[in-house]
Amino acid sequence: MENYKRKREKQRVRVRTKYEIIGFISSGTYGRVYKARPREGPPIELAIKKFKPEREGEARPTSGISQSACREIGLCRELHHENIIELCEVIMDDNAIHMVMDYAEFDLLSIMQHHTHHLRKPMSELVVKSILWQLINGVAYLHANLILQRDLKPANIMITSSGVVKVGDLGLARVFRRPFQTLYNGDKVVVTVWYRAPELLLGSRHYTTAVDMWSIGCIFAEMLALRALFKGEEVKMEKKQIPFQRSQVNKILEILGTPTKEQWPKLELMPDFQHMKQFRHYSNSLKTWYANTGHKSDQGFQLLSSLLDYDPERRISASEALDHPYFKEEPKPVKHPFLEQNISYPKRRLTLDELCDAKSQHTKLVNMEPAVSGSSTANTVT
Amino acid sequence: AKPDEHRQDTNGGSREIQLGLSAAGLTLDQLRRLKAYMLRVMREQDLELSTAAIGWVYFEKLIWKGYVVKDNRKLVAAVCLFLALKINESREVSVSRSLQVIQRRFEVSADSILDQEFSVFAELEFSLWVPRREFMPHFLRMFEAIGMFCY
Repeated sequence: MENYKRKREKQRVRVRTKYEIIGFISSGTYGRVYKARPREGPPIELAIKKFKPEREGEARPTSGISQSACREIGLCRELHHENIIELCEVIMDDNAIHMVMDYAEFDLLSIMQHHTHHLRKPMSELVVKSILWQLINGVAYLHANLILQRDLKPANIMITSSGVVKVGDLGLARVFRRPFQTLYNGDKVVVTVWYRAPELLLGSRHYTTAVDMWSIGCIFAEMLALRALFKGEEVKMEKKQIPFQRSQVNKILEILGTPTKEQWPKLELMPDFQHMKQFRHYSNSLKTWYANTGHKSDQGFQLLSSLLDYDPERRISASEALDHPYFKEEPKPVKHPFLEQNISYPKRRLTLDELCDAKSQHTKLVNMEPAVSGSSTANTVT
Repeated sequence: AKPDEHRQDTNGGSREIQLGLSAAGLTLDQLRRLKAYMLRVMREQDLELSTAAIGWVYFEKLIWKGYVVKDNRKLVAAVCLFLALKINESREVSVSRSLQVIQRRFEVSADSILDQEFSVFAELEFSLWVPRREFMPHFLRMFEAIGMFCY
């Protein structure tokens, strides 16, 4: 057995020997993302997502590979589309799962922030339309494969330096309508509150593709105005009770007006419908809001309001949206909007975090004493 | 039907499969017992029946690949069920508690399950979503086996 372990240790692919970590990109609840480049082969850039063990600090997590890693990897293996982040390789190293993926130079959040803080001018209509079309195209592919993204937000929408959209972060994504899955879903809080559909805010337990379409509507509006459309304050969860997101609902009502029974026939059947009585009456002001952004296309407004339809059953689907007249009128969406318009944004800022340093120390350690490499854990270094 | 044919039928196997199995030192009896273990864990932990069916699909794939031999059959089957549980359960289940039940039922240590998890995951080519056509036959057969009838 010891021999076998030693042999396996020798054969094991190590992240650092195969890839050079250039820098640290971001971290989240799941783990950390690094930018890397293969040591051999073509000089391409890749992103490596390192999942942290379920409980950090433990030499070995008690429940093995985290559930979200299993799901995300399992899903990514099945998905191949130009507007979805591609998974290249999975490596187990250092007691953590590493996903090696396409690298995208930007994300929509950083691009919008750059426009707000540095350029101080809106994104051009061609860019907005091209990004929106590609985003819908990627989501249409997911929906056609019975997958919900469930956490669409600007930070999760990756964009390459030429302007190709890559929908990323499928950590919350789920396969839906499987005959062998219950409709009720255990993990309750999904979708960042600003992009959360009204039916979820009113307690619906049924996740449908319409949830993603609502988020796309919010993102479209945000690209036009460079600020979030419904910027509510999230009520934090207390005592494991899902709170009613009062402020968020109020923000939606302020712009879209109080929903009527005609607009949303099943409104009264929503579990948290009783909360609706506490709001005063609003009328729909989306048209004024749209006019204030300076965009003139009436079709653009039509698409936005179909994405933000209160009734999830009537809300436009991804495949319908792709054929919307808005995308047929000039300027027509293009595949590489940044290239076409000669736009360049500042590159992603990379930092060398403590983990990169720990990694280099770790490499030295491994070189001196190969036998300890399997059990040493760089991720406990803080 | 002759007993022989019947036996083949219930195992969904042909002569070819049986030859492959004996090369790996596995018998149909052993496999049947492993399937029963999966169902037992499923019931003890109140898991979805589909979880056991998916776990079994993984296990069969690994048999085809020649990854399963007599000595590791229990361990591999245990890991398959463990992975199926992570991907398929939509309710919140306690993964570590299920792991305890699995290790007891399959008579393998939790440590060895965790140790093998990644190898099995990689051997399955990280494809944990099984197509309906691969999944349904096992699901229906297990459905009958636990005494419920779908029609």
